[in-house]
Amino acid sequence: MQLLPFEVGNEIYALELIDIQEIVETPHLHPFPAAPATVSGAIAFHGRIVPVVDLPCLLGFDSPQGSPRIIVLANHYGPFALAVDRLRPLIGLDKGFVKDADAGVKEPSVRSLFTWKNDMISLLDLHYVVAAIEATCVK
Amino acid sequence: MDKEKYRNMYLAETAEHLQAMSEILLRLDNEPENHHEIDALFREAHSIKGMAATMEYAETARLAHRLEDDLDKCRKRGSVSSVEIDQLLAGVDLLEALHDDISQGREERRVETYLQTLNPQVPSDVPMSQMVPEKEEGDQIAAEPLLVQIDLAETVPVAAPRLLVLLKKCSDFGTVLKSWPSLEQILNDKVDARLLVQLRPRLTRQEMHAQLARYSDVEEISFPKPPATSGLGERRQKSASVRVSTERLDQLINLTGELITTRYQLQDALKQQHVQGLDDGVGQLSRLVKNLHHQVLQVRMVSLRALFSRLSRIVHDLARSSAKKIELQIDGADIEIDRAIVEELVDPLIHMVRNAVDHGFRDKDQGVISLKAWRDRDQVLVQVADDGSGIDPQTIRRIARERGLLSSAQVKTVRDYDLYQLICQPGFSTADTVTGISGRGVGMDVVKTAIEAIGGLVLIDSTPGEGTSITLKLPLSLAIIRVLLIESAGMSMAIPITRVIQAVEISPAEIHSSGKQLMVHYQDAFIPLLSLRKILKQSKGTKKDSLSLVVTEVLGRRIGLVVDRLIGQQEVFVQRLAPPFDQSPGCAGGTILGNGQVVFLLDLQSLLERRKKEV
Repeated sequence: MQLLPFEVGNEIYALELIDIQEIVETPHLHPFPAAPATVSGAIAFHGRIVPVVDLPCLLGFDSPQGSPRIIVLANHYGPFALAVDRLRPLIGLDKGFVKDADAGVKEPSVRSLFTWKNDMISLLDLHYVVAAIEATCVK
Repeated sequence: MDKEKYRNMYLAETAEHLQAMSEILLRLDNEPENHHEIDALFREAHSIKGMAATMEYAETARLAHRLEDDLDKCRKRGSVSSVEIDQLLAGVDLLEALHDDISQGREERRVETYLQTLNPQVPSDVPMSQMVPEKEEGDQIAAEPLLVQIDLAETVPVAAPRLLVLLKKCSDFGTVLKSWPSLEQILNDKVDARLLVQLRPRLTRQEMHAQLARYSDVEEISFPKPPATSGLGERRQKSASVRVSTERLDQLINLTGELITTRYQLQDALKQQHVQGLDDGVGQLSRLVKNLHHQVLQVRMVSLRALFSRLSRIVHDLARSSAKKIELQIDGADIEIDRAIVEELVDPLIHMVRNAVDHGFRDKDQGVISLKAWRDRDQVLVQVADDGSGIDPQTIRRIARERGLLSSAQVKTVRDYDLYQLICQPGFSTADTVTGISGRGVGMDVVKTAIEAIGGLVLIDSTPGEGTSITLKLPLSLAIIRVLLIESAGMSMAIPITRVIQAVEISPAEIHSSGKQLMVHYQDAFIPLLSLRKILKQSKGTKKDSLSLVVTEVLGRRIGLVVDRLIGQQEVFVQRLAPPFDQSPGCAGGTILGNGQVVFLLDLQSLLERRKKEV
């Protein structure tokens, strides 16, 4: 499996490449009236309005620099996009290498944990992200 | 995925057959000996049975089979009794419930109880194969892919060769689509003690189980369900399929062809730096795009027929249960409107029809209800009218005063027309008794909220002694609307023009205050001023020489919305936001302007409701 690792706060997360549609480097972020804090706005992406989730905020980190990199997720996720702090080079792994972590030892936002070149990388659980936005939007 | 495609087709087609069945039944109620109608009804039931059996929806097939049998008897006798019509209508209701079950991905509910209330006739164990009609009705669907999970005993020293044998065995059961680990991984020895195979089986589970159980190293054989779809997946399934006439598709294809030609013309003109050619090409392009847009909108249009037939069914049931003679006049069922709007109209119209039956027939046993739709330029009007006793303006005046909706001075001056609109206030009901049909005081406010949410208006008119009519003014399409662009704290936003009463500039001298509330005089009344910056929790603005005001109606009241700047009107293509972002209060969708700027549609109603809750 191919993974895209990225930095959020002082942690490294990753997403599977098949869940990603495109990376937008310097997007123009349009504000969204009365948006919850976890939604930083929306971008015009190939003629579509794609909401952008402030991932550091959602995961409980500060994002002083306003998270400049945007990952647009695959179409079956809405689509929506995630703003992250910094991207890292792609890594290719054997599927067996990444195993689902035990429920007790991980954060609910993490699907599984693995070590790669001395870094601990958390595979982000997109279902958790969707549920968390749902909880803040639907009030 | 294939099954999914066939399922959507099945759902769309059976929905049409079911609608036809209730329409015919309601007509038969008036002419129980019309054998053309009985024949048609029989054919509808037959079609549903055939499709359901092919798709292996056993309960639906069994029920449709039973209805078909009953109808066959009616056909031979040449008439349908009113008891039979009610039974058949109940049967159609049950088929609709089954249709819902299938569309929601649930297991079909059992039809046994219904069948038992009729005379026992069809043995419940009619084999499916006998119900599948002539082969040519739709292709046979290949068996659903199945997952087979095989766990080896822990004592097995080397798993790979065993898995290889088992994988090969599985290919005897049917077509292997995929396996985990894959054949390649097994050959490279990248395995643990489990094999998961996805296949299209030719054998039953029992047969496969029996054959696999013969291997001594196999500890457990199971048939796991495919991974459950997340909430996201379920929502996506709601996107139903649409039936489009081939004529419309052909028009779309022709337009696409012309677009391709234009592209070549433009490329050519660009290569030759031919300005006139470029100009012609762009002109042609804009004509084609406009045309294409129109055609695509047409695809989204559906007639009101299905909705009206559902409403006539409700009137029929209400008439039966209250033993009243109600004549229903329907006009304009062929009027077409965006399907998204039709979906939003269902509940309000049901409510309005129930109201009409209940209030219109309170003091009498027979009368007329009329259901009418017509077009007025780019609006569609839908009207529900009764010829009942009408609404007494004095009663409304009394209630409005009792509930504090109007002051005694206002009660005297208010015009009758404005008075009627008060019925839409939450908790307002003039029915002295609450019946099962309506009059619980919840209702017209819900109708008004729902209609305004799709950019429409509710108009109420009544003449005592002659009847009441409620008219819905609706936009033709939700996709393209006219908006007023405004700005607040540097953020541009749009308000649908249908929600704007007027946009005006006023001077600060015109502002009055009543306690903490600032008011302004507008058309012989004082309306409260609300600051958009405050509502959106934006920073305070600086004082200005003039104030930009959008007069609009929110929660049944006129208000003046103070904004930083009125930018102007524009026609825009509205996109809904992806769920769950569409649930965020304050935002009813967005649009991308010509300069690439994203502007959101302001939903004041939900913002103010949220503010109310917070207070």
